[in-house]
Amino acid sequence: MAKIEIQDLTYIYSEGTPAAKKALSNINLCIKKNEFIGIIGRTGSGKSTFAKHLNALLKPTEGKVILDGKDIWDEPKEIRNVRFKVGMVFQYPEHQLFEETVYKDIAFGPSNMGLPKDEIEKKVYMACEFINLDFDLLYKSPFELSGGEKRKVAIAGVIAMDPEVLILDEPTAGFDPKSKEQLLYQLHCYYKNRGKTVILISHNMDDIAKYSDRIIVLDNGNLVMLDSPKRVFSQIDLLKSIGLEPPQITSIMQALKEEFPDLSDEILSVDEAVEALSNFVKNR
Amino acid sequence: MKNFIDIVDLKFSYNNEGNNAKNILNGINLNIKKGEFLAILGANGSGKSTLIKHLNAMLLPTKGNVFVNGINTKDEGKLYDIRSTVGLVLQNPDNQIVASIVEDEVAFGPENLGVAPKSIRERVDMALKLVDMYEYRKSTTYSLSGGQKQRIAIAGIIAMQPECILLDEPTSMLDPEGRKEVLDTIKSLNKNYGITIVLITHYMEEAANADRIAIINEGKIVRIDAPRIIFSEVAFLDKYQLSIPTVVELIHKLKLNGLPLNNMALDERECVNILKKYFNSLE
Ligand SMILES: Nc1ncnc2c1ncn2[C@@H]1O[C@H](COP(=O)(O)OP(=O)(O)OP(=O)(O)O)[C@@H](O)[C@H]1O
Ligand SMILES: [Mg+2]
Repeated sequence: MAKIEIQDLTYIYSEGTPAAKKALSNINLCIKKNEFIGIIGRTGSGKSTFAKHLNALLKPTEGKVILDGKDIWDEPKEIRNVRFKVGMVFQYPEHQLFEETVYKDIAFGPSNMGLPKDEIEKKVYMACEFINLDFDLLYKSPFELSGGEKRKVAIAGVIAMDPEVLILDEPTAGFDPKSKEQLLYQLHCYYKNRGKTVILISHNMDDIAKYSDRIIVLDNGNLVMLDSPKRVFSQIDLLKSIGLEPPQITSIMQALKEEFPDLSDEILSVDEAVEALSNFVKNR
Repeated sequence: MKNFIDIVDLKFSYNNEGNNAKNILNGINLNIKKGEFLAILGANGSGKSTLIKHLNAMLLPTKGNVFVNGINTKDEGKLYDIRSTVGLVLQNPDNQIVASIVEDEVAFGPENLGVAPKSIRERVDMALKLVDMYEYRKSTTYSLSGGQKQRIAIAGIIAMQPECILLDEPTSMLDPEGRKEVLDTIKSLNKNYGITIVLITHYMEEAANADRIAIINEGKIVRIDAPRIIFSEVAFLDKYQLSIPTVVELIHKLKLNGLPLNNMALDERECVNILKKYFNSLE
């Protein structure tokens, strides 16, 4: 059974006013339990609008969002539970920090879920480890943190709720390179080892290509493709026509292929490229 | 010759009541030359933002001194000179923009400096042309893309005619298009107009454009050198939570695999050219 099923989803902002704008058009797709999904599309293509439907922050103008076999809008009383099951890290999550200590901020979600105190504490520490946040910072005010630290705290607050589906909108902006790699690796383990569903929205095609099982490509509110990284990034012309570029290593290989047609351009990582180029040299 | 900016034994702590005052900056010595493009790299919380806030007297040293054009930033009477010499652009354009029309936004800084109205007009037009946003001068600020907003924020600083612009992760909230626009603007201000640039970034590809890269760790500068040299030291970068640009990694790994490549590439075009040249030499 699909974890999430989207049926004929259309969303119109400010419906019925002169400013009405269709942000999503008739989207149909399924996301499996235990899947890592990437979402790509240029600014304004509908990525965030789509994501907000998955945890009931927006109600479809038309169509359905089905979670574990049930339309999430069938029982309005259950919406709260949908938000516990489907955790969302927003684009500028640090704007939502408001407690007096980092600890309380991270504990906010699990407290709301009514967990016992020792359980909450466990979740807070687990979330800090997940995000590579120094325990020393737990008793500081969130307003006395560096930019990257604030963002880590905001993400830890969602991780601490241990959601079944975790959606993250450009989560690594402002992370140093190692923290970024670590977060992506932890997300990989979250879905691989713990049977969760992870949905990552990002402009960074290298990360999307490396970690996703399948990629949702949106353009102007339409679903253009839903396929494996290899297949998606081999459609260069289509991607370019909707304002997207392949990962940098893929475009390097494509540039080389123009002069050396024997080379493969279906390459998504540096290691694959090293292997392909070394073999190419051997065979010359 | 005197340096443009001199940082001497700088120590700083945010001195919060009672908290055992930990030094966030721990003895920084750094000279910034007129017209140079300096990038600052370092892990989250290493002290980058704290350091550059000292360059325009937003923060003052707990110990040590910072000199801008020979003026000590602790000299309260000279705050105006310092702020008009060194401007600061922050990460999130939405938090910096105050006016609803583009040209009013850009005029805001010089108005605050008390510049005469006629020369404000000239400065605003010139600044908007420099960041390539002149045709948007009558537009509303909220209708702009992230990259455009950030260029307007930079124009607002340029209109104050600073000698140096500090940028604290100006592209980290932008999409690839916006990032490229802003980086091109920064490079042009530096190359064509001689404005000194100090750029904090987590993108190694951006730092590759600088004349020098300074690496900060726990409030100390652990290294300062040209990108070509710094990016050839993979293990060193790893130790300080940093990485290398994809093109550098590719060439590096090909060399380890026995390909006799001599050059190091800093951008995509250089990389493709090096490889094409090598493959053609095999014929
Ligand atoms: N207002 C403040 N009060 C107390 N401590 C602070 C304050 N601002 C920052 N700090 C602390 O000072 C240290 C350095 O912060 P700074 O903002 O300079 O880091 P940074 O290198 O810019 O990090 P990032 O890459 O995350 O932006 C951090 O450990 C942070 O927690
Ligand atoms: Mg910072």
